[in-house]
Amino acid sequence: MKKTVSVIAFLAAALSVKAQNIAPRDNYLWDIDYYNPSVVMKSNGVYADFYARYDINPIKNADVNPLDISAETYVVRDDHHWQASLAHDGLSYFDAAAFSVAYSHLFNFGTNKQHSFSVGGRVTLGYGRIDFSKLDYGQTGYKIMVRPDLDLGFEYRYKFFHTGFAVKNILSLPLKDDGMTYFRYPRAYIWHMLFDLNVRDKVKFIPYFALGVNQNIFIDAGLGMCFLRVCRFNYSFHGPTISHNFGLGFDIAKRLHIGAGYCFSPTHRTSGVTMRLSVKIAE
Amino acid sequence: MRHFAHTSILFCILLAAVSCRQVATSSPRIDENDPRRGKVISIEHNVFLTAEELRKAVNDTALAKRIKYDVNCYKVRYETIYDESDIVDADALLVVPRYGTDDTPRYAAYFHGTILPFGIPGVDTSLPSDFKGYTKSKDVLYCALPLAAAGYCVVTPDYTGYGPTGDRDHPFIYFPELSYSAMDALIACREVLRNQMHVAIDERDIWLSGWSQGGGLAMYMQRKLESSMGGTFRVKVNSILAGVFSTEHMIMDVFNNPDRIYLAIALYSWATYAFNQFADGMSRATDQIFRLDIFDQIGSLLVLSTSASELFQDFFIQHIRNGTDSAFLDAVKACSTASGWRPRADVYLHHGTDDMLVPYFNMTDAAEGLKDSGRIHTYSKKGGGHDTFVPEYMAHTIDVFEQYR
Repeated sequence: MKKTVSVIAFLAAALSVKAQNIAPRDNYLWDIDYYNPSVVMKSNGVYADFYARYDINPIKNADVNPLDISAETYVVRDDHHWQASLAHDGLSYFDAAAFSVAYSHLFNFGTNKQHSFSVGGRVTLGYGRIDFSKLDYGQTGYKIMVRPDLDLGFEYRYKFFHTGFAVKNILSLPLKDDGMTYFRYPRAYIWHMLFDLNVRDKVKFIPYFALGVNQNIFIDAGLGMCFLRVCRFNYSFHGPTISHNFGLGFDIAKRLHIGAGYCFSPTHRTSGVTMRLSVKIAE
Repeated sequence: MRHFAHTSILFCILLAAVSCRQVATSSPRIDENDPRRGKVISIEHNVFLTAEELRKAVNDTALAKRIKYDVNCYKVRYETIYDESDIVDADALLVVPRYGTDDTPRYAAYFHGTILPFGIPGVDTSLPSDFKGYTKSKDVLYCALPLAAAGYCVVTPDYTGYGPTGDRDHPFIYFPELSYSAMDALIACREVLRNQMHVAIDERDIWLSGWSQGGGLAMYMQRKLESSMGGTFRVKVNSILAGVFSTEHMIMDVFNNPDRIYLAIALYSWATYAFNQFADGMSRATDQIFRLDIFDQIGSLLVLSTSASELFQDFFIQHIRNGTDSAFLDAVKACSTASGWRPRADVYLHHGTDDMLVPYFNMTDAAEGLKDSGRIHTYSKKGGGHDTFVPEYMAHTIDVFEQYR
């Protein structure tokens, strides 16, 4: 536990990170725990994950930083799962950083504990800074605001089948100035299902699907694969941006995983590459 | 602890890279009088259709009665201006009647309505210039072809954002930009007809028509031809179905009622995107306009929101409503043709009272705003929708055009 706390403190103090709070993450592996805090996709241990994403085609017309960085740390102990992350949103006129802490608990029941149920929540403290000079309305200066938010979710598992539901950004508080809302993370409702299929313990197939509703409807559908426990491949489709995401990763050491991903949308003419480094700090 | 050290070093490297910023570059402006505009690149014969084949295809008694000529259809590729920064290729459909020796050839333009920039099952997205004998496009089947078969050489530009410029944004209802490809199509096809096909059309006379977006463009073109480009063409008459004229009224209706449900909100979204891309003084980051992650025109169309408040940033809406977003309001005003000018040629407006896509007030606003000219003639179709009386409109258009021969 002491190590866990030090990892969180390290991340909170040292990292400038980025994550669109509800935008789909076109990482090379699917991170449903981003949507649903009750989901635990890792085995027992303490982990630190780092992401770097380069937007080849960033927000249209925006003078934005094409490189985003994010970091997360996980502690998984049997039925308990903690997660902490620091995130940064880089919009053209708005900077936001969010520190979040999540906890989920797993309940096993039934014969041979074939059924399990997890519930989880995430508390986020968001900091935002509006740069009025970036807008076209002849204003100057900044305004800084701090807003809390909350995510809740649950997941049910039976053997290889998982399904869950989450509400993200429940409070969805607006950041206002002079009666106008300049930013708010939209509340989203997300349902997911996946199959965690093992073939002789050598190959793993994870077909998955998620359906979400915020101001729009979005879907994530894809297939994750793991070969000999060291090589991972993922393909996912995201709508309505019609983007295709490919990822490939390897365990290059006992506790070190490295991977890369590429996403593109032929219709939206956007693309990006992602690098991921995952370190298992302790068993 | 060694892992911490390694990851710390990696992160320092990544953080250093954060300081690299991507800066947009802009191309130099192209002069509006650039001599390359309207230059013919190629002509391709698409199909020959007899009058009898056309009568069967339109399957409308009133329209079939007005079909007299066999027609040849061509794809004409020409050069035009794009976003005031590029000279690009664009395509147009040119339909030429097979005149008899005593006939007087005439030159007309038909401006087509909205074509989605991506395919949807059941929705026709074929381009006019790709017509090779079969189409579901009402623009081609009920408008361009019958008008040609009634005795007019008809040019129907595809516009930019399609065909050779299919990888770029289409200036959806942003008429100042749309008018470039329209004007250059008129110039290019006049060149083809007079100097390559030796069809004896008058050098200046033009009969205008259009539907929906194309109707708004037909009105905008008349205003342009009767003012700044008065020497290029002389408008004989203009006949329009369900045109977008009252852009200010349409746009402000949406922004003044941000919580009201609009079935066609996706089209307003696309229009707002296009205004931002093409209008002077805009080109804003899309996150300053939309609440959604919208990166391009397809994203602006693929929205399932039903109201402005779900779709647009609140501060964008508020600045429009209180009049402080002058760049956007100027862009909207530039597209409005329902008032503020005086048509010299007669304009015939047709509109369904129950049009859900282009509201009926577009016609009534134009009739009121331009009534001092004495040139506006209106035809209301009670209970008519946006596309429910297209053959009737074209049959009337042909009759009207005959009065101005």
